[in-house]
This record gives sequence, C-alpha cells and structure tokens, in this order.
Amino acid sequence: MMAFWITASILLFLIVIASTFGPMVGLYGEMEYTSKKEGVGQDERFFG
Amino acid sequence: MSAFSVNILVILALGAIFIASSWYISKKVSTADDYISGNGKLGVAFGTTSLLAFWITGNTIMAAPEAAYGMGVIGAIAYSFLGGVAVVAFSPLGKRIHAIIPNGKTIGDFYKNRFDKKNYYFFLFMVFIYIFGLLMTQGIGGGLLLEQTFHIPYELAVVLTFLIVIIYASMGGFSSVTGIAFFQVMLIFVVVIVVPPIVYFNTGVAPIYEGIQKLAPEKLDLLLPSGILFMFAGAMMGIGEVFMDNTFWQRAYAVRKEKLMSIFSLAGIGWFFVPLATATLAFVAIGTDQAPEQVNQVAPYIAEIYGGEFVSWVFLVGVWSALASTIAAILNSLVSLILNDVYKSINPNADNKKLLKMAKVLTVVIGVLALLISLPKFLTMLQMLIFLGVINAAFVFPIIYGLFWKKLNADVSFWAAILAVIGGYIAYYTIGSLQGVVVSGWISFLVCWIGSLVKPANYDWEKLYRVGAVQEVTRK
Repeated sequence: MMAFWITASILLFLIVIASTFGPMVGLYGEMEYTSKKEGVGQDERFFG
Repeated sequence: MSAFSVNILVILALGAIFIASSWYISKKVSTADDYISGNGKLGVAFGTTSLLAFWITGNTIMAAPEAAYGMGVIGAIAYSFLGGVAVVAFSPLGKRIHAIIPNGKTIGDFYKNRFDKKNYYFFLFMVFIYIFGLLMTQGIGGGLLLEQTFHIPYELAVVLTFLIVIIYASMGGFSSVTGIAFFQVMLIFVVVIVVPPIVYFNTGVAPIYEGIQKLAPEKLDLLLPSGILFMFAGAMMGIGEVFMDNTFWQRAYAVRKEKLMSIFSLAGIGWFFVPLATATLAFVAIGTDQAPEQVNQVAPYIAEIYGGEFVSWVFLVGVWSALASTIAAILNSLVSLILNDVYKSINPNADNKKLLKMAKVLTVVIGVLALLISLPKFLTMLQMLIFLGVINAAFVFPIIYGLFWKKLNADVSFWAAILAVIGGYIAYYTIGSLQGVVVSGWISFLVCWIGSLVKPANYDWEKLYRVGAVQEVTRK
C-alpha cells in the first residue's frame, strides 16, 4: 500500500511541475491573449 | 544574570531594532497601495530576502532536524526539497501573473476576474481559514519553541512576539515588512552558516558517519519509503501553500518584472540549504547516541552541547527572527486581502487616507485576535500545517490552469476545489494525513483537466489585464 501512495505522490508532483513549467515549451498552445499592449508580446514569446 | 533574563533581553533588543527600522521606513509610505503591495519595483536583493524571510519559519530551523532525526538523510533532503521546489515552481506563475495582471494587488484580483462569484467567495473563505490557521501555527509554534528551548514562559513568548510584530508591521505595512526582512534573513543565515561548522569542528565528520553506520545504519538509507512519501506528498503540500498564499502573490506583483524568475528561483534554491544545514545537527545526535527529551529540540540541544552558550544565543536570535518575519508577512498579507477584496467592495469610494487608516487598524485588530487565539496550546505546528495542506492542494490546479489555460471552465474549477477538499479530508481521517494531501491534489487535477476537455471555456485574458487599470481609473 505504501508503494501505491509513493507512486501516486511522485506522479502528482511530476504533473504539477509539467503544468507550471510546460508553458516554456508550449504546453498550452492556445494561451495567448488578444491584448496588443506594450510588453505583452514579450511574455507570450517566453511562454511559447 | 540568569539564562531566562538574557533570553528576554535578546528578544527585547531585537524587537526595539525592528520597531525603530520600521518607523524610519514608514515615513516613505504615503498611500494604501504602498502599504499593501509596495511600489512594484522590488529588486533582486529585497525581493529574494523578503521571500526567504517569510518562507523560513521557526519550523524550518527546528522541524527539519526533527525530520532528519526520525528518517535520517532522506528526512533532511525531503524537508529541504518540499519547501524549496515549491518556490522555484512558483517562478513561471509569478512571471505570468505579472504579465496578465500587471496592476493586480492580491490573489483575490485573479480569482474575482478569472472565475465567477461562487469561485471567488469559496476561495476567499478557504484562504482566510488557511492564512489565519498559518498565523496561529506560527504563534503557537513560536511560543512552544521559546518555552521548551529557551525557557521563556509560553504566554510571555507569544505576547512579546505578537506585540513587537504588530507594532512594526502596522507602521509601514508591506514596505516595513520587506525592508526589515533583509536584516532578519541575514540573522537567520548566521545560524545556518556559523552553527553547524562550529559543531562539526568539535565532533569531526568521520566519527559521526561511523557512529551512524554502527548505531543506526537505516538512517543512511536514501530509499526509506516513509521518507520518499514525505518528500513528494510534502512537496504537494508546499506547492499548494505557495500557490495559494497571498504573500507570494504580493511579491509577484511587487518585484520588477524582468527580475521575477531569478528572484523566485534564487529564493527557492536559497531556502533549500537552510533546513539542510540545520538538519545536519541531527546527524550528530544519531552518530553520538544523544537524544533530547523532546525530539523537536534536537538542533539547539546539540548546538548547546558542542557550541556552548554563545551558539545557543545565536540560535535564539535566528529562530526568533524567523518567527517574527513570518508572522509579519502573514499579517500584512491577510490585511491586504481583506482591504482589497472585502473592504473596497463595501466602501468602493473610500479615499487613500481612509484606506491607509483602515489598513493600520486591520493590522492591529487581526494581530491581537491571532495573539488571543494562539494563547491556548491546542495543536502542534506540523499537525496544523498538514491539516491545512489538504485545502492548499485542492487549489493547485484551479490556479495553474486558471493562469495558463483559457479552456479552464469556472464551474469545473469550483467543483474541482470543493470535491478535492471533501475527498482530501475523507482520506485524511480514514487513511492518513499525507494521503489526504495526495488525494486532494489528484481530485483537483482530474476534475480540472477532464472537466475542461469535456466542457471547455474560452476565457478572454484581456479581462484580467484590465483589472488594476479599471481600479485606478475608478479611484481617480
């Protein structure tokens, strides 16, 4: 049973890390927002 | 002079320095925005140290050696990992927050505009429970720590700590809290940099290693199952705490945009070494077969044996600075939330002078309330943190997906948080405390992810971008 909880916690941790750092490699492809304001474009490039 | 009198004098002297510094800093605070979130130009030094000062609590210095004493090397690594990785993981979120809500003030600004009213009110309710609980853990934990380790009566320790913090935090708000944090972190680092080397110069490294091999070889096992579970379930708890905590959001808004990733990454990496360094003191206890009466006293116990009275006082200064800086940051974060998300809704036309006055009154009222609730000793710090960890884990995915993924549906987010809290607490009471955190995190993930794929939203980010600007225009 301990092995199950360890596996579940490691998997969940990896999902969180992939979800937070994923934008750097374009995980959420459709995340762009429509604003054309200054400075916005820079962040969009950063997050893919 | 007795050790008790000297310890009280040390705290009073430190408190006087913090209050005098706060008075000087508060002269530059003229608006309610300065009081609750600074001016948005916090640089690398003050940004990093203010994060470290909040995140290094009394627990970091005392409970990490306790984990190392119980689980050995993996306990020390796991404790350092769970807090450090959480701050590093927040760095991409911080950058995104700065980009899409450039004029935001609190996490409430995000919740109110990204989701709907039911999400906003449910989140506010849960976040108030969490922040107030955290404030109490620091008060209770701090009181116990000073009583057990430094012989200061519990009630006196709690009253002294809260009074000093209330005075200096109410003077200049966020500016005072972040300004003084710089000095507090320097004091904490003295403990980390000076104490373990002094102890190891006296004991030697090889004899300690050989002692552990002989007396408790299992403490050298890096694959100890309970240690691995503590490492990753604990990380989920730490990540949830950081993502949900307004203290981190305040700093995400307050620091310079171009320095944000480095500030959060540096703070996370810097934090990692603090518990790791103090935890090494527990190895001395294991290797020399010496045990204190209570296991949470293992670090100061070993420090006093091998470092003498001077090292003991250095420990007191470091631990008390950690407690004061954390309580001050939580207090300011809770006041910011109430002022920005509750008071401004009730009094939308309140001018700057009135808002500033209300912020100071709220700091005193909440501080005194937290002091009174912390006086009875009814829970230990770690129990309370894991209990609150179920709530923290429930909001991890609504926050991540809410910031990055326009498909996240407001209804899905609401149900994900509610079901995760319910499921998490069922597991907490029926299976185990850390398992409750894991169940809460999984429900939060699965409901948000599957729900948004089945019923995707198409959120317009422009709505978040306008948040602060709309507020500014309204107030002018």
